[in-house]
Amino acid sequence: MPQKSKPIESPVVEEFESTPVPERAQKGAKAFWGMYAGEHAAGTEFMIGPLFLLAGVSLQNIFWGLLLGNFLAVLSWRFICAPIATKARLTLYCHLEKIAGKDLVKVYNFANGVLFCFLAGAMITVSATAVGIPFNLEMPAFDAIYPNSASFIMIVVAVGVVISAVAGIGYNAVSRFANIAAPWMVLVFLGCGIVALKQLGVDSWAGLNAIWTESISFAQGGEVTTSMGFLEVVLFAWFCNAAMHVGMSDLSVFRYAKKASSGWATAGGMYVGHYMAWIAAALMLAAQIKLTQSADPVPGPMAFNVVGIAGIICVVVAGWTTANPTIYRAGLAFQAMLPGTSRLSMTLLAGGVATTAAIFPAFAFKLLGFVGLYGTILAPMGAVIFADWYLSKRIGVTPFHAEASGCGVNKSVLFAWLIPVTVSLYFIFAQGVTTWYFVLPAWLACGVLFLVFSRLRGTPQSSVKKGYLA
Amino acid sequence: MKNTCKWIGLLSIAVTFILPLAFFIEQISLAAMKQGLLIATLVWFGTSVFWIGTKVPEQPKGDPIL
Repeated sequence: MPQKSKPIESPVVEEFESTPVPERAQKGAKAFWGMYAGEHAAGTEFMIGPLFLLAGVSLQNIFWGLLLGNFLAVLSWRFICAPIATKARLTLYCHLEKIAGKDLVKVYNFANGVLFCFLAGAMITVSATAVGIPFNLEMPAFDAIYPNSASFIMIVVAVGVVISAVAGIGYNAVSRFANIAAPWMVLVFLGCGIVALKQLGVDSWAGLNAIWTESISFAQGGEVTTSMGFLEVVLFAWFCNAAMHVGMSDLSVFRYAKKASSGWATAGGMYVGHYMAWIAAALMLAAQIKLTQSADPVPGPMAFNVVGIAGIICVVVAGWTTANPTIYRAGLAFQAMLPGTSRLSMTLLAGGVATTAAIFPAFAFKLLGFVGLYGTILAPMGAVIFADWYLSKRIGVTPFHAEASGCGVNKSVLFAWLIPVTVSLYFIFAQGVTTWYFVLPAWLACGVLFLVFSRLRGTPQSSVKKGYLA
Repeated sequence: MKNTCKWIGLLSIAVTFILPLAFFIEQISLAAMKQGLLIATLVWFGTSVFWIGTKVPEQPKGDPIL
């Protein structure tokens, strides 16, 4: 519910890009609770919840694993990201530029942009499944890699074009619309779960457990096997937003917080979006299996079955309001990489890549794995910031090395990032190991390697003169 | 006008919360609940635009929200 007379708005405003946020612009914890609760009820929640069922996760592991994993995510925001954000008060890119150098930040930004495009693609697919319902669109099956019809492609392209065009024209209107939709979306998610629970016709935990197991059995063709146990669910929930907490992307958000304790506000997002909404979406698929014998986790029809047209609107809005800023950010990342290009052309390019990815439903249906990959690639840079902030001076390494030495690429950062990420990608793609196992090891390895390489490199005279080690 | 819209909007959001519960305790049918939710949705978007904050960021910060 919105506060009595306070508008629901992001505490983040577009100022202080390259300077610390001054005291007058800082905000209390209240502003962050609403922002996180609203923003984490996104289009992808409709996809992630059902994928737990299809992965054969037991009901106990979902309830307890998500409870613990989300708590660990909140702790990561509170004790890793927010303390640095409220002391340095810089954006991720500004902070990283001081350590890694301008050119390396561009490369990191570009990697961000490419991954954003695929995430936005999954969100476009989610929206398209809802838009397709009035047209009796045949939805792609869960194991589909390629689009199943020309109609599906046309609807995805239409949705992608609209989202990209809006992102290209400007962000304000969508941002305001997202603020308006947020409280309503959260309640529709909750409603979906309640109605699905009723449709399942259970009146006890044992009954729910039995029907859940039956649903898994149906979805897996008579077997009950699981690829995710308690540990995997915990790791997934913890590192789903790894790029934002341990990866320090939310430095950009919490630099506006008066105190680091505002980091607790992320609990609003985790337990509304990544607990209630995921469980509600998973129950929707169980209800769909019971009522229609279809185990395809296609968000549009699932939401329509439980709450009708309001559900279709919710899926479209949830996908659109999150895909839009994601494409916008990707456009900015591409623009930074290619100086001289316009923001509009780069946003449209990002939208084109996202729409192309959205045509292939596999990107949306493999979202669990992709989210782990996203964290594995991007989060380790957060370890560099963490190590530089807390440990560099203690072991005689120059903090903010790139700023002190004026270099464009800090090779200590480059190799500390590339080595663990390359090793992780080898195991993920060549050995087929699950992605979310690698986020924490890659993060730790990156931090340690950064300190080791920096120590071996020695201290530039310029940094001693400028007092960086004082 | 703004105040009226606000109260109507808050009422619609309360209805959005209550209708699924009413269906759960078998006070209304599924069809009625779906219809009611659609009306509450339209009312919410129709009224909230007049009173929910107009101050928005120029561009998003941070990573995509999952």
